[in-house]
Amino acid sequence: MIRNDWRDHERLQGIEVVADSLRTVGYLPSRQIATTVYLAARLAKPILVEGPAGTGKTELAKAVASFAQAELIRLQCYEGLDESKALYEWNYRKQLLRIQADGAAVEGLEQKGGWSKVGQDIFDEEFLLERPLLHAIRSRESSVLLVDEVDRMEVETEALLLEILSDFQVSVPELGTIVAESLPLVFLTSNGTRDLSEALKRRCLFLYIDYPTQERELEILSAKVPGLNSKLAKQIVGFVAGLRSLDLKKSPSISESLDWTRALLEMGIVTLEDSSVPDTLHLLLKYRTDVEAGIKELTSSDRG
Amino acid sequence: MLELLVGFATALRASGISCSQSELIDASQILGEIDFLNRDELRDSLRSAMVKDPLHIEAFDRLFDVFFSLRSFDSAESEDDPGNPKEGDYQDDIDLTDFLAKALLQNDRDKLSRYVRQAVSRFGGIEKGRAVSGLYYAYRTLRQIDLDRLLALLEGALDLESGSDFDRKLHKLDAKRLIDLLKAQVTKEVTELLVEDRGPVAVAKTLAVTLPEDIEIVRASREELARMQRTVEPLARKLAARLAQKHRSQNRGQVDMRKTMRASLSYGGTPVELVTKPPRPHKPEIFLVTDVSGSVASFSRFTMQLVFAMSSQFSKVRSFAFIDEVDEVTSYFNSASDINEAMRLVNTQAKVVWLDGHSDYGRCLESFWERYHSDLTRRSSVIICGDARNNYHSAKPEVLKLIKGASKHLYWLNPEPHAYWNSGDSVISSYAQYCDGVYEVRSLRHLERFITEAI
Repeated sequence: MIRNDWRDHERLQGIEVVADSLRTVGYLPSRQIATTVYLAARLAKPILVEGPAGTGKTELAKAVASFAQAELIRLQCYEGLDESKALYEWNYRKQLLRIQADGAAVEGLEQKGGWSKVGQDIFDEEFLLERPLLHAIRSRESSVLLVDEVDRMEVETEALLLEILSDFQVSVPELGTIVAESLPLVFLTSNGTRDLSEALKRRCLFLYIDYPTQERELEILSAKVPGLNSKLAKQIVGFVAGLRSLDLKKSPSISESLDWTRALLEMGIVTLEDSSVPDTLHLLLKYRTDVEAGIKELTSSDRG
Repeated sequence: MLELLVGFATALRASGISCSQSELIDASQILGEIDFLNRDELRDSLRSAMVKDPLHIEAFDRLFDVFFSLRSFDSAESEDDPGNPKEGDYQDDIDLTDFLAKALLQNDRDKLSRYVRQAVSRFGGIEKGRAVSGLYYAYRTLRQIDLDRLLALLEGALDLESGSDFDRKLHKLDAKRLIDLLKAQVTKEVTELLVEDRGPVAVAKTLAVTLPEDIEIVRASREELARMQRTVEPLARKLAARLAQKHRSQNRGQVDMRKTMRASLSYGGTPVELVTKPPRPHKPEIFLVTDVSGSVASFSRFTMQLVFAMSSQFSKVRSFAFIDEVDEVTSYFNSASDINEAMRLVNTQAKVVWLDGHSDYGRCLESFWERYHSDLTRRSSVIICGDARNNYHSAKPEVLKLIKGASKHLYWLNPEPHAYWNSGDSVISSYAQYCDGVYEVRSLRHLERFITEAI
């Protein structure tokens, strides 16, 4: 029977408690975020987090690991990721050495039971190299498993995750099935560059982290940037929200508005004026055409 | 409760959101973990279990409001009789606008919902038992609340605080946001009243929630086009990723002898690990040729949007527009800051009209071939978008054969329903014989199917 330490974790009892716990480590959750984390812990379900870049998907997993003081195990996905890098691999070098060491005393080998014995020996846990997924399953303490940017791995490799996500076990042909002792809390993040398979989605709770509401962004800015006066904060949040409503190649996300805010403070700007914005806009917008569109909006809305 | 949940899942499926049996089981388990009398909590929880696509969230929310709108969820309800104004409330219609403005500015949800309730009962004129489709009542109420005056009121009040030019611009945005909030509140209120009257299942049917990917491009309203625009971008990213990925997994590349020898050293000279050369990055070139004539105007706007989104992902996209003359429009998309600007440039500066501005596919294909055939290589994919309605000009399908011969793939996307193909002046079948595929693309769902099946 797999133990679910997360279900009884004292800092995850109730949606409000989850929200407060996240706040203590500096992550300001929306109600939806807190609810989903709470449910994931209660139902032992992985969370699939989707949303634009820079809205705090990876940060969420780190924050949960941090307040729960659990180990964060991270698997960064990329094209070409395979079993040997995600799950486990046999340590060929060590196996080879072992065989050679036995071969040095051929007579000894016969006495010890011959080849079949060595064959058993070299497929022992001693020769197994743990990769993140197996590590998360074998971890004795409760852990947080972060599978970052799932959409980057190929559809075929996605199947690797299925056994782990639904049954929390890994099958190693030579050893049998390894079942988790303590359930890891799993976060999968995706930027939505491709559709994930139905099978994967079905096993997860889904959390979409969009650009924050103005209230939440205001809260985040004031918490993360000390010494920010409330009027400037309000102006920044309002302006950024306006930019997001434009048709841009890359809308500014929280991390960008944080950068911008810090830069403004460094420059000693107390209130935003028409004149001060264009010079710093490139911190917020990453494409030249976007910056131009932003400046145009700034100068044109006078008439509108 | 469970019965309601099943009904809800059925309605979700009816609107196109696939909600599997196991997801429904998850949802029912969730009920045991939360306080399901708290509506917000219930909504957030069910959303995380039953919706797996960000584009479906909006439709989910609307259906949720229908199914879980029982008045008993609002605890404050009992003490408030919606019909009777309380002391300090509005006296006549003009005042109501003022009160709404005040509630919005103070961000006071309770007051807002009370005033909205009054507005709906006063202006909506809801007749019990009458099956009016959609949200006709909401439009009626909003028409009566003077939205222009409300907007002015909100802006005026916000401007009082501080007066720099910059602030004033921000306040305009704020005011618009507040108006949207009011609209949403009115819609919700009307929905609740309708459900009270007719039950959730009936209301869900009349609401006719359309998912963004099911909207018909040619018939879409302005609002629907705006909703679609948001979905085009992820789709373009998907298309780009797919084109770049193709064939990568099969082609493992040649054996890299040097690296294989190096790797064998750690096994005492036995080449245990075979190291292959990294495959050459696949760089497909896309030629998108789009009919921009009046008959497919909204479709061409949509394909142009797709081009615009793709050109930010993908450097090797070249786009061409034509009516009865073809012209390359790639540079307009690269220089324009948004799609509207790009469309304007295409319409004013590109030479797409030769004689009379009626589509002439034969002529355009011919001149496309003449002018750009030297650019086509074995890596080029040509995608032609248009209804192939040739106005009885000469079709010249043999030119398409040449184009097909010079490129890797040739696809045709047709915005017309399959049943209309080859009727009247449509000559799609004479072109189809030379294409790798002709696809009916009337909605984003069709386009997505094209991406997954063809490419």
